[in-house]
Amino acid sequence: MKSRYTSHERIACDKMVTEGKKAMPVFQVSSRIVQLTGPVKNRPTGVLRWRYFILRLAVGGLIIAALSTLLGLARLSFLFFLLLPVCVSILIARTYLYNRQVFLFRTGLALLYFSAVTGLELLTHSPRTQEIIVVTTTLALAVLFEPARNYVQAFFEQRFHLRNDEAIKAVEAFTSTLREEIDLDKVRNGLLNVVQQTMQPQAVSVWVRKSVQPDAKSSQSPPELGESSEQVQRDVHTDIHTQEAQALAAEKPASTEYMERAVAGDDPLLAYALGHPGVVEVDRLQLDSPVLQHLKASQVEIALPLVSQGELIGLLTLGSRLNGKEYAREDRILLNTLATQVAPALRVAQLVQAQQEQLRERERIEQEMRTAQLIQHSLLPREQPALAGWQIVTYYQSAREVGGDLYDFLPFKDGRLGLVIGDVADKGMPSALVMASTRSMLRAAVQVIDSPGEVLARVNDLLYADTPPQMFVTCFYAVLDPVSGKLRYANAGHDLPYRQHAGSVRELRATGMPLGLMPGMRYEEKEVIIACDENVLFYSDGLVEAHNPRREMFGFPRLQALLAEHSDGASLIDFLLNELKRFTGEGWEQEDDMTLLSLQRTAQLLSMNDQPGEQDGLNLLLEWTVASMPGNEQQAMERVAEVVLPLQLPDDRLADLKMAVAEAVMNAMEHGNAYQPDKVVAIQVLASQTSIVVRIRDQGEGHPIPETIATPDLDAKLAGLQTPYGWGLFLIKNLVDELHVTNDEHSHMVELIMRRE
Amino acid sequence: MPQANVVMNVRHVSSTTSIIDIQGDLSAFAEPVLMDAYTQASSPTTRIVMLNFTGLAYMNSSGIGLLVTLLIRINRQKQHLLCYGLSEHYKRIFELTRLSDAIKLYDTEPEALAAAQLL
Repeated sequence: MKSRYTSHERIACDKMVTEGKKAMPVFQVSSRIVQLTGPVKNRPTGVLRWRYFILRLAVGGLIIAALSTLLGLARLSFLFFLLLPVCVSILIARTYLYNRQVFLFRTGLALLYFSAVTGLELLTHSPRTQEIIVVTTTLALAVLFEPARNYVQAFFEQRFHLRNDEAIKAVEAFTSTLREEIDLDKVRNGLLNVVQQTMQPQAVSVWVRKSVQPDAKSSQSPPELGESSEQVQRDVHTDIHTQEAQALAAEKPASTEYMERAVAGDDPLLAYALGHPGVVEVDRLQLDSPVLQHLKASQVEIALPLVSQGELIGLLTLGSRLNGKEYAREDRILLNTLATQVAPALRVAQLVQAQQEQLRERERIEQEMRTAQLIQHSLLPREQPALAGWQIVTYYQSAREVGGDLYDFLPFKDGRLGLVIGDVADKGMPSALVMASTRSMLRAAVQVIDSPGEVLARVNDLLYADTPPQMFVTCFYAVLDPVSGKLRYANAGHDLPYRQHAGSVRELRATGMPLGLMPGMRYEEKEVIIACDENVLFYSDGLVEAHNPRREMFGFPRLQALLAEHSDGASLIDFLLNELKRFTGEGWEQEDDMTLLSLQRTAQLLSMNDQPGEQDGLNLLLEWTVASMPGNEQQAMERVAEVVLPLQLPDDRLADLKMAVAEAVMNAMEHGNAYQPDKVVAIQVLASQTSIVVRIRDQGEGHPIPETIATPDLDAKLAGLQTPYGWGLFLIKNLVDELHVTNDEHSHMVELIMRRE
Repeated sequence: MPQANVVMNVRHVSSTTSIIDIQGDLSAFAEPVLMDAYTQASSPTTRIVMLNFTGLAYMNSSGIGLLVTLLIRINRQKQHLLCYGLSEHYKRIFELTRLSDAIKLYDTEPEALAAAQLL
């Protein structure tokens, strides 16, 4: 009979119902099933068994009758002899007590022995000897030679492999690994292997009860979904005959069928198993148990409960043996040993596995949070905008991995800058989601709406539609004109920013409801002008609501006081953070998200309107400042070209002017301001009927601009006698019609003049 | 932002002649790019290096200084530097700075190549 092992794996879902409901234990069932291509050799059942019994009875009777006739002992009571065959055949019938082969061998040997002893007796005694002497001497002989018989028996049994030594060794080898093994799958597979190897059943399954850690986390284990055991049952009945697989050596079955089955907590089989350790004959058991029905239907012959420390860990079930034989006594003893040894190992392995799963779950959640944090990070401005004449410093720290605070910079094409600071109610993931949404809405709204108050009104309506009733966002939105210093702003319930100048602190007031609470709200709009050296602080309430160990709040008054005494915008935020640390002490757990945004006006906007002389009908077309950063000269050049476009300079002259402007601005940035980004170059473009004037002024550090400009000597440069560079001033001088240079202790200025005719 | 806003591509049209195509701005930041391109363009047999300025967007005084630097290296290798594709404006600049004396100017690639043959 050929056999092949099936191979497929499938997992159904977990159905653990906890807390107050009836616990439905779930068992993980791993099975090895031999796919038989020939007819199954079944144990004879029912009528057939009786026939065999009678047959054996008859055969037994015949043998005894023959023997007794031969030995002339027919004088003894027939009744006695009738009992013998009965006993013998009962023995043979209940062959689970003995391995058939072993039994036959031993019986044969015993008969041989019996005959030898009897024969010896007959030879030594005449028929006239007293019966009692005959009996006693016979018995004495039998007892004396008993060890010899045992020796011969053992010898031959071993010789002919009638004992199951190999099986014992295999089981011992397996159980010795159990001491070290904590991997549940390895223990299970090892068990299935050793059972298959020693018992050769048609099917073997090990049921392992899934346990859930009895800790706080159990409330999180999903009370899963009502798919009930019906579905699993369907799986159970249809699974056995699916996929084929290649045959593998018996030592390495790659193939274990794996599924999960829910069992009612009050299933009588469970209680029975707990109370009856040892081999259980499935057929002989009568219980009102669906599991038992299932076992019988799957043609399970015997089952062994796996019990450890008074708990039912699981069940080991075996179908009938491939060679059709019974499970003999020795086999059962072996299985019991196995069950006793493997139960504790399974339990430990299971606990380890449960713990590992928890760990993985936790890690997965942590990883998601880290990713969320990264994403939110990318929604915040990556760097402070560099605004000439202004200094912006920011600080953001969420209380958890992700937060509900929001700040953003929205640069406009015309040079103005929008500033947003906001705070979503609460903190953590839900707030972060609303934060992301609010940010997008604000960005979209400012594209089309100029007025801060209207921007907030629009976003308010959008948020109201989108967020749950209790969710709202406080928000302060301002638009700064960096050239004039005008700050136009509106407020939606956010903490009022402070402006600090020369030791006095005031609030930027505007009224309005937080966003997302009620539709159709209006937002008051105000405008102020930020003076030079004035500092504006925007913040979220994480700072003021921080508590110290005495449960006092940091508070607004303290913040105001600190602001009043600290005038340097660059270090203000560090200063505040230090003060916070001093206030809260060590080991403070941040309670709420914290955002700080400081805006300080640094540069005095250069005023060039007090130039001596010339206002010969010159009109100022445009004036602005650029920060001293490489590359800005091109922008400046293009802007000048734009401004003078209506004046219709010939193309080549315009190109010359542009280049001259770029060179002059570059010089101012590099030599005048040493490329310091917070230093500006001021540019003025003026025009009259006859000429175009561009004035470029730096902030006065570095060398004065030379008043006389030498012509660079190319040959000298090529010969290495001069630096290859140094063409700027020469170019400027030769590209424009007139060049005037002014140096004083505050600044250096070049004036480029292009005549229009 | 300080970034080399220029891309250069080297072509070896013959064993003696290489062309460097310049796309973008020739300013101070172009220095490493130009020097790399020259290293690639200059093989032991190269005698003529041509600069293709048809893709030039912007050049300033630093760019001119850069060309002078290049010229010094060219001279050291006893090679010739030609260029073509300059706009009128930059041609004037070349003339103003007398760079056109040291670097011959042409209008198109074929013209420049033809002239190269004669060198």
